[in-house]
Amino acid sequence: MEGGPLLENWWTEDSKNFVLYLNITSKVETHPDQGMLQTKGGNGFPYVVMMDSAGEVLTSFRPSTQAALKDAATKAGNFVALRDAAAAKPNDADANANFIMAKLGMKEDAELRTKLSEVVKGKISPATRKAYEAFVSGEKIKAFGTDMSKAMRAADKEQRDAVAAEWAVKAYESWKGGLKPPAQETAYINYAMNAAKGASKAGDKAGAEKIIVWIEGFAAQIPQITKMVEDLRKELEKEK
Amino acid sequence: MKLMSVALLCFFAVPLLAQADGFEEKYQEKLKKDFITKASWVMKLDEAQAKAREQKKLIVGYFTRSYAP
Repeated sequence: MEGGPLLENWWTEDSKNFVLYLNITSKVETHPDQGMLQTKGGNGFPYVVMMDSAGEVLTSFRPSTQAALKDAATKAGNFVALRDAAAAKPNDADANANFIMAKLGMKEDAELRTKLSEVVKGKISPATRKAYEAFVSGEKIKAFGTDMSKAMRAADKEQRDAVAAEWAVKAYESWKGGLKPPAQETAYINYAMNAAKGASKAGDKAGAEKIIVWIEGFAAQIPQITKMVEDLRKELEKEK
Repeated sequence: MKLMSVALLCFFAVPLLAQADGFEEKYQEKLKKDFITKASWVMKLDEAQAKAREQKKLIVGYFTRSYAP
């Protein structure tokens, strides 16, 4: 990061749109802000975050490309706009629901989750209803990822390939059943990768290709995607 | 007894001081890195927050370390 992206021209130019805060853990107590890494939720290096003027972490990201920086800025900016809207209209169900969904997307909070389920039981706009449905789909996909990770960890080394194949089939069936990523977000790539593998195994060439095209949409943002997509297409060729 | 205390102090404190000096040197070396000198970084969060309020900007916080590569 420090010898690469942070030396590139796009970083020098685009970073001027932000206040740049540098924290160096040095093990010398007299240096500025020692311990701030943990305070802001970091547990490894480098840790890069977007914060508001109150110092609240809005999102963490890796500024490895210009698109990744732009993506994080959009996400953080949207969050601030939703938060301000909810603060300006504390009794507005739409403003509250949208803000709570954004907040839950950053950090789990049981109290907020309960509040959200109460808010959406009431009258909300069709746009907020649609956003809520997308939020629920996203949550289901994230839960799928968690369950798959647990199954992989529980499997013996020799069984892992079989378990992964089994979950790829589950992902494909789930995708085919209508559970698709509600947005072009990196959090759903793993689910899509599995669904593409499952579709490939099932011989659903057209279905697999559609999912691969969705994954390919990240190529500008994540350079490794191009190779991953190539591998998926090779697998698809083999299955024919 | 006094001599033993001095010896113990030297045994523990001198390496610690040397280590602390090592951390300081590594920190100073880190500050010379191109990625730091090429941009306008603020090193204290409260100052970054004040600047963000004044300029109505978001803060990009970059957390790194100097004691190890």
